[in-house]
Amino acid sequence: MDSKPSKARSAGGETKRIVYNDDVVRWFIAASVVFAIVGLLVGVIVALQLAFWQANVASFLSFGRLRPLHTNAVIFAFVGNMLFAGIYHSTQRLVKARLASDTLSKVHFWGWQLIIVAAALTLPLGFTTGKEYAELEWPIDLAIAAIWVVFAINFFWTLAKRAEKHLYVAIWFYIATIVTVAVLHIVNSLEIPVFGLKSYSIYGGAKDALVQWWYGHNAVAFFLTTPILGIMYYYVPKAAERPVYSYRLSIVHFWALVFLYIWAGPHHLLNSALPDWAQSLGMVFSLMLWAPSWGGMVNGLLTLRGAWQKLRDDPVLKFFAAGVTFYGMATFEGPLLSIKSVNGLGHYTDWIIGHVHSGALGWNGFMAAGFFYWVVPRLYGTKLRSPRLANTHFWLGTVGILLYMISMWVAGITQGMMWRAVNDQGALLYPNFVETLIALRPMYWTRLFGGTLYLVGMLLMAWNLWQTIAGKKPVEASVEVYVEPATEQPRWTELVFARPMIGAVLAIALVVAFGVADVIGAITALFLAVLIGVGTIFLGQLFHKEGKPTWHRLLEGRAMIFTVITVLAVLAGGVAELIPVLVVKPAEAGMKHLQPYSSLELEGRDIYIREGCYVCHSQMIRPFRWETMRYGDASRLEDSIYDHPFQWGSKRTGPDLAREGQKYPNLWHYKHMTDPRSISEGSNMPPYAYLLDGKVDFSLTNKKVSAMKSVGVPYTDQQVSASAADARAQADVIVKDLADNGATAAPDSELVALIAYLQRLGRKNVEPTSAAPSAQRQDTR
Amino acid sequence: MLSQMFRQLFSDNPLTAFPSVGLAIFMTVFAAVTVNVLRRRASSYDEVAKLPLADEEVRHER
Repeated sequence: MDSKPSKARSAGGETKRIVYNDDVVRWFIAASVVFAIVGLLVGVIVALQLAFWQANVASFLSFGRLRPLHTNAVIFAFVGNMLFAGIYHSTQRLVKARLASDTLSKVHFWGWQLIIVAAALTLPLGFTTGKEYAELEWPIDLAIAAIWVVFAINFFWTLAKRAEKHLYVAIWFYIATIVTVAVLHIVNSLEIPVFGLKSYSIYGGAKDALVQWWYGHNAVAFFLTTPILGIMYYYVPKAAERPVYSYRLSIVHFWALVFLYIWAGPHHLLNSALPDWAQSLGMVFSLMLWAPSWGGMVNGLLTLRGAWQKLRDDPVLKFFAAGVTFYGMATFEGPLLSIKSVNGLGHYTDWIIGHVHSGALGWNGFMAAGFFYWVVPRLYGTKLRSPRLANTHFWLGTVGILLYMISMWVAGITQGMMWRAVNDQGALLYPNFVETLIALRPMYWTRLFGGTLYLVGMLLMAWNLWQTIAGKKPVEASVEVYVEPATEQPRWTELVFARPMIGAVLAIALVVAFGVADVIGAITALFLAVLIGVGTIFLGQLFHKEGKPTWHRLLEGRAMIFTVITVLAVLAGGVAELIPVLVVKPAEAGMKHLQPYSSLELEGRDIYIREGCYVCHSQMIRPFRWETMRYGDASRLEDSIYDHPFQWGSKRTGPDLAREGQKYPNLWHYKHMTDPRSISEGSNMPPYAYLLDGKVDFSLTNKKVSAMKSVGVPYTDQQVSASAADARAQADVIVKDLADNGATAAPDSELVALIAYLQRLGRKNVEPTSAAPSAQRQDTR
Repeated sequence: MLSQMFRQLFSDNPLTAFPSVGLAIFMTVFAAVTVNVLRRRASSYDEVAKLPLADEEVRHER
C-alpha cells in the first residue's frame, strides 16, 4: 500500500498531494486535557465528600449535584474530546483524505465545547433529567443530537472522498460508534418538555429502567470502548512499528462486539422487578462478551510481540500496554458481575464503582495518555519534553488506579457481606444501615488518595505536553496519494444479493423456524439451516477465483453498505430486547388500585431528582430475605409504573427508599434532612437545611401535572386544574403536623414538598395523605 | 416436545420470541463471520494489516 505513489510515478500514473486538517485534532486534544483535569478534580472533590461530609459546602457543590458533573465531564468532555481527536487524526491517514469540511470541523469542535459548558452550568444548578449519564436537559439533548449529526456528516463525507478504498478495521469501529451513539441518544432522550430546562421521560418505571440501562451500558460500549478500540488498532501498531497481531481476529472481534454489546444492558437490573427473561438475556450476553473482549485485548497486547523491550523506556507503549491490560481486567470483571448471584452481592455497592474506574482510569485514561504522548510531539514537529516525567506519570497513575480499585473492591464486598449478614436467630446482624457505611470509611480515604495520585499524574502530563509545544509552531502534514483510475465498482445489489448474504438470510430463517415448528419441522429446519450454512461456505470456496477479492473484502470497500449492515447488527439486539417490554401493558387488575403522585408529592419528587438523591439511594428492594427484612416487601413492577423517570438507582451509599413512606413521622424527615447526624450518627449525607428556604413555585405545578398526564399518568382533568390548590392544601397539613411537634416550615418550602414525596414512597395504593405514623419506629439508619 | 417447550417459553408473552429470534440471528452471523474469516490464510490480510504503517507523511512548517 505504501508503494502506491511510487508505483504510480514509475508507471506514469497520476498522484496528488493531500494536506491533513490537524488543527481540529490539536483543538480537541487541548480541550480533552483541560477537561480531564476538571473532571478528575471534581472526582477528587466528590470522593472527599463521601469520606468527609463537611466538604459539602454549598447547595450547588453538594455531592448529589457534583457527581453527575464528574461523570459527564470525564465521559463526554475528557474522553469525548480525546476520541474526536483520535478519530479525525487516524481517519485522515487511514483513508488518505483531508477532512471533508473545515467548517463542519469547526462547528463540531465549538458546538461540543458549548455543550460541555452548558452541562457544567446546568448540572450544579440542579437542572437534570435524573437519568444517569443522560442527565442533561432537553435543549442540550437537542444540541448533542445536532452536533453528532455534524460529526457524522463530516466523517462519512471524508470516507466518500477517500483515496484509500479499503476501510481498515479502526474505521469500522468508528462507524459503529457514530451510528450507535446516535440511536442510543435519541431513543433514551425522548422526553416531554415541561418548560425551559425541565422535562419528563416519556418512559416510566420498568420501561424507563430498561431503556436507560440499554443506553447506559451502551454508552460505555460505544462511547468509551469501540472508538478507543479503533484508536488501539491504529496507534498501537504505529507506536510498536509493527502491524496488528491478527487482522483476522480483529474482524471477528468487531462483528462479535457490535452484535453482543447492545444486548447486555439488563445486567444493570438483575434481581430487580424487570421481567426475568430480560434479566437472563442480559446475563447470558454479558457472559458471551468475555470472548470478543479478551480476543481484542490479546490482539492488542500481542501486537507488541518483539517490542516488549521498548516498554522499559517508551512511555507511550507503557501506557498502551497497561491500558489494554486494564481493558482486559474490566471486561473480565463486567461479565463476572453480570452473573446473577455475584451481582446479588456486588450490585449497589462500591465494587461497581471500582469496576467502572478500572475501565475509565485504566483503559480510557491510559489510552488517552499514550495517544497524547505519541501524537502531540508529531503535531508540532518535535520530541516529547520529558519522557522521564511521562514515566513518572505512568507510575503515579498505575499506583493510583490500583489503590482506587482495591479499596473499592474491599469496600464493596465488605458492604455486600454486611448487608446480608444474619445472626443465629436469623435476624440482621447489622440492622442499622449506617454501620455498614462507617465500616467503609478507611476505604473511602484510600480511594481519595488513589484518585488524587491519578490527578497529579494528569497534571504532570498537561505540564509535559505544554512544555513540549511551548514556543513551537504547529506543523502541517501532507501525503502524496495515488489517484486510482476510475474502475467499475460492484453494484450494491451484487453485494446485498450475493451468495453469502442469501445463504445467511436463509439459514437465519430456518433457525427461526426451528424455534416455532413442531418436532419434525424443527429437525428438518435445523438440518436445512446447517446444510445451507455449510453449502454456502463450500460453494464460496469452490467458485472463488484466485486473486479476486472475497465478498467481505468488497464489503470493506463500500462504506455505506458496511454502515447499513452495522446498523442492522446493532438494532437486532436493541429492537429485540426493548420492544417486548415497551409494548406490553400491565394487567388491568394490578393497576386499578394505583394512584399517581399528588401534585405536592410530584413537586417533592422533582426536588429529590434535582438534588441527585438517586445517586445514593435506590428505590428497588430485591427479592432477597436480607433486603425484605431491612426494607420491606420486594419491589413490584407496578410500584414504579408512574415514575417518569424511574428511580431504581444504581448505588446505595444510603439505604433503599422504595418503601420509606410512613416509616417515620414528618418530624423525623425534617430533622434528618436539616441535620442528618442528629438522627443518624456517622451518616455522610449532606445537610439539606437550605431546602427550608427554597420555595416551590406552585404556578408551575399545573404544567408539571399536565406533562405527566401527557406521558400516560392517569390524572383526571380535575386533578390537573386543581393541582396548585391541592398542593397547598397538602402542604398545610404537613406544616401543621410539624408545628404540633415543635418544628417550623413554610407551606411552600421545598422541604415540605420533599417530605410529602418521601412519605408516599411505596404507598401507591392509597389516596395522598400526610398523616404521620403515631409512634416512631426503631431507627434502622 | 420442542414446540411444547417454546409454547411454554412464550406463553406469558409471545413477544419474548423477539429476543430468541435475535439470539438466533446473532449466532448464525457470528458463526458465518468466524468461519468466513478463519478459512482465509492469515497472510491474505497482510497488506490490509499494514495500512497504519503505510505512512509517507511529510511534515513541514506552515
